[in-house]
Amino acid sequence: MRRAALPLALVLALSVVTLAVVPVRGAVPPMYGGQLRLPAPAPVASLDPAEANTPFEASIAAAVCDGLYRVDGAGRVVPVLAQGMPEVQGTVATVRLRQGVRRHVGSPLTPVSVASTLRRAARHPQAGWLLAAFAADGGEPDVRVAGEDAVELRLSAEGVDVAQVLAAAPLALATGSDPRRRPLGTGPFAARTGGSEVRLRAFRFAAEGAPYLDEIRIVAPRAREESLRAFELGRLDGSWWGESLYGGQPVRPVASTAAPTVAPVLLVPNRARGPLRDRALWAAVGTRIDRRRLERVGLRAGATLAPGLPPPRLDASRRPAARQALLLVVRDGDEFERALGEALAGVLDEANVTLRVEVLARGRYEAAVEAGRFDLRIATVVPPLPGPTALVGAALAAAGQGDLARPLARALGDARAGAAAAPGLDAVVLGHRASVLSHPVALESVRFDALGRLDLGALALPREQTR
Amino acid sequence: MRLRNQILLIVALLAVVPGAIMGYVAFAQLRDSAEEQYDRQLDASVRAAQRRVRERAEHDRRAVDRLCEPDFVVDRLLLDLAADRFGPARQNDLVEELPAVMGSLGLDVLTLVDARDGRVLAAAHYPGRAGAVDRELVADAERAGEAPFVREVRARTQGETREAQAFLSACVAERDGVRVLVAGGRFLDSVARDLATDAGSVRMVLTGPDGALPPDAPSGREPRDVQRFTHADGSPAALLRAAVDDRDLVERQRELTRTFLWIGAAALAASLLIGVALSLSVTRPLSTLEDAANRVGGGDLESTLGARASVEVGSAFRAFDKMTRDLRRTQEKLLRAERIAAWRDIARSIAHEIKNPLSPIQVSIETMQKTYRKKHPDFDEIFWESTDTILEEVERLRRIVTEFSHFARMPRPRPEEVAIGDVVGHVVGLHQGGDLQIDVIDPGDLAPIRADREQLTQVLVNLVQNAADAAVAVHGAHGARVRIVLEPCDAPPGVRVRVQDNGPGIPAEDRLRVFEPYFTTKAEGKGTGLGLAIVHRIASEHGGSVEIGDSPLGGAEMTVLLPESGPPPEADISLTDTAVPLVQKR
Repeated sequence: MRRAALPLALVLALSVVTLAVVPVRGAVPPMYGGQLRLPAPAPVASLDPAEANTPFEASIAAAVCDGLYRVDGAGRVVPVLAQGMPEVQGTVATVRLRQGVRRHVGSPLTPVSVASTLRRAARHPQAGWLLAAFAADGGEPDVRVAGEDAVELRLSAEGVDVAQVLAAAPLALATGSDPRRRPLGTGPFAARTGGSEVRLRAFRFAAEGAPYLDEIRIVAPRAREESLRAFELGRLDGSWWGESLYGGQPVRPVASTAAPTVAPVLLVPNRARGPLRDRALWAAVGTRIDRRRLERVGLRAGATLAPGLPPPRLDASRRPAARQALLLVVRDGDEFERALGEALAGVLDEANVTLRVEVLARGRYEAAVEAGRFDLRIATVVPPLPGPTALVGAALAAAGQGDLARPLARALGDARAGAAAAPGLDAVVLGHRASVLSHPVALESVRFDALGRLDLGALALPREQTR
Repeated sequence: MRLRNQILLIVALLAVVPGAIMGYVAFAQLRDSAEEQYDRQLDASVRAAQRRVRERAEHDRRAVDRLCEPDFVVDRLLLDLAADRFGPARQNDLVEELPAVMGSLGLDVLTLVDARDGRVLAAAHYPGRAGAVDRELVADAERAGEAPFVREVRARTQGETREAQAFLSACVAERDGVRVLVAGGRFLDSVARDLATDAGSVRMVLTGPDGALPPDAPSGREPRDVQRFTHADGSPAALLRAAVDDRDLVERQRELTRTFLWIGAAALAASLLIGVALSLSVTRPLSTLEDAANRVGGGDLESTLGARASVEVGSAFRAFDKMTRDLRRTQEKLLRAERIAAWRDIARSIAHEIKNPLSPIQVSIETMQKTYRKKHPDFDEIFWESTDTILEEVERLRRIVTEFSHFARMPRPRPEEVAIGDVVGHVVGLHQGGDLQIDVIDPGDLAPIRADREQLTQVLVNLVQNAADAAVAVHGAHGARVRIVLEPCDAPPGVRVRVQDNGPGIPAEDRLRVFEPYFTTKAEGKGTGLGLAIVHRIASEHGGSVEIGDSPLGGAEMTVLLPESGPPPEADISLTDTAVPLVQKR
């Protein structure tokens, strides 16, 4: 009897130890794990939260990096990496860091990480405009390390909602020497870019709890037909192109989850040079876009950034008398932009405009935009925060109107400020990105947040279906 | 024209003219043959192209009809439209699928249109047209019925828009009241291009309804009409024409021209070489003969031509050599005779000179004998007078003999660097203090010559003395003028000395004899007649010459040419030239 009780006690003890070290996400930790292979709808150019150009890039960034604060489902700002809400005295705000948070390399999160993140973010248009909420110090936000667990932020004006600004997705904390390819965050997954793939490995010591999956492999975008076939044959666990190659019933049970259409897609003109300096021509182009014809490429038709916001101001104009030739630049590998460009070519053709679509590799694309060697480009606005003002600010920044966006950083909670600034957007809203992820029914917790980001940390597979 | 050039011209003409005629004939034959070939090719190509256009139109018709028959793509579209399921996603699927369908059917253009409202459901050649309204296409298709028709179509290729005429066929698929128009075909220019690749050198050119060829169209032969294309309403849209691309022929003609030119150039070069060789073989012996004749004419009788391979030339050369040998022998004989005659003249002159004193001597002696025999009272006086005469004449005889001896035994010149101006200055200095006016014209930059200073001084002393004597004889001491002019001489390089006077000059008949020994125009006892002979001899021994001319001062001018190189080697001085100047050198 005593000899039989010893192994039993040993097993019990091991079980207790195992349960003690396994990270928990909820009150009842599910016994899930395994690997998932998801296709990227477009090439993932950067994992840096400050540089996210598409909702999917923002999804990956959110899975890797946490912010000091975040907006919860009820719209409240709650601390994540911060110990509590900021202490504001006049134009100085102090944020204390949560203790015991580890970065993906195992080292603790320090105030230095916060300061370096904010200074780096200032260089990126998508994030930089938000930092206008803080006083500038030589072109960078005035952020100072205050002791071992706090940072001190000088505000550009009294009354700035510091917590809300720091809750913006682009300001999530990402450190490391190469945040674009390997950001060091504190999120549920540690990222590594290799070749055309992005590998997200579960991080046991994530600040918000470990993820359910062991690994998510983000594979490079493929042609629609190939992507659909791979999904149908089970080689991919998701599809952005529908459920089946032939539109019929797929082989395995499939479900689809639609993302909220919160990411406006803009047609941005080059007003500094080229034919679109002519305001009448730009108005003629902007007012003659039949948005319904663009829906087939994955847009939800809409002429405003969000319901309730006024559309960008465009003068009434007649159809150009002579045929005009315009150049639209799109990013190589971004099937959405290419298809949208071709659809626009057909739409504008009837407006007496011949559109040439030039596909450029990322580096050449950025150089062309920087040098103004284009007439039109497509920009997807990734909302940094819920609310219209943040969306307008992000849209202005995406359209290259950072100067108009910066004042909005100090009034993120004021919806009227966004509405007032929206007509000044020098771009046309083509619609909103309508993303639908098809996935096996067995994949649980597929959900998008209010900013259109897929919550990768919540995805789970039953143990028996894991690889 | 020189004989050499004549020979060259004849040979070149013989080489080039036949070649040019042959080239022209070859050109003409090639052109005629090629034109016949092109005509045949054009006829065959036109027939073949018409057949191909028909075949392709039928193919397109079948391809479009296939889509209107029970077809997976169109049937599903009809079902979706009928069930009102044709939303944006389904439309995008169709837009994505249709290019592959178009490619598999071998079409350039494929459009699916809702025939009810003209809405473009998908356009494989232009995805962006999806959603546009094109009622005209529906109307055109209804008008054309089964017949193909031409329509202006815009298409997208690699981000660019292209507008071209397309040759379309259309049909309508219908189900449950839903009608979908399927219109497909190909671009006319691609039809023309495909046909052109089949037609070899015949090019298919797509023109407007008027058939006007574009500037870059081939213009080898009169183009032929292949196919007229019409719009749906029957109006002319385009014309496909066949034209011969004769660039091959032109290129072949150019190549032939180049070949003939090369051959012609080679033939011309070869003929010129042959001509040069031929003319040289003919003219070189003549030149040799001419040179030899010139040498012989110049006195070189030793010149021979030797034997030559050619019989005719060898014979001529042998004849020339024989003539030269005969001439040499004749001249030697003549020289010997002249030498004998010269010595005879000298002997006669010496005899005359000697004979002249003999007579007074003889008379004096006979007078002394007579007066002595007759015991003439004035015998003593006569004796002294006669012996004085005899002594005088004997003295004269001695002088004659001494001078002749001096002339005959004149030493060889001992050359050294001599500045001719210094010698002239020395000679003029001998006459200073007298009434005679001697002018010297010296450029001052004459190069020194090689000469025997003493002999050169003697030459100038003799010439100046002769000039002075002649001038004084006419004008007296105060009116006499002598001028010495020094000049450089180019051929041969040296110095020319002109001694001019204003005396009576030398008559033409005497000019040939003034250099002969003992010839003098001076009064009896005034000159020995050896002065100019010595001048001539010294000049000759220095490789130079002496010439007589008229002086600008009115008298005679003696010109001595002295070469810079000085006296030639001893062997070159001919006895005839120096000792007996029978012929005046010019």
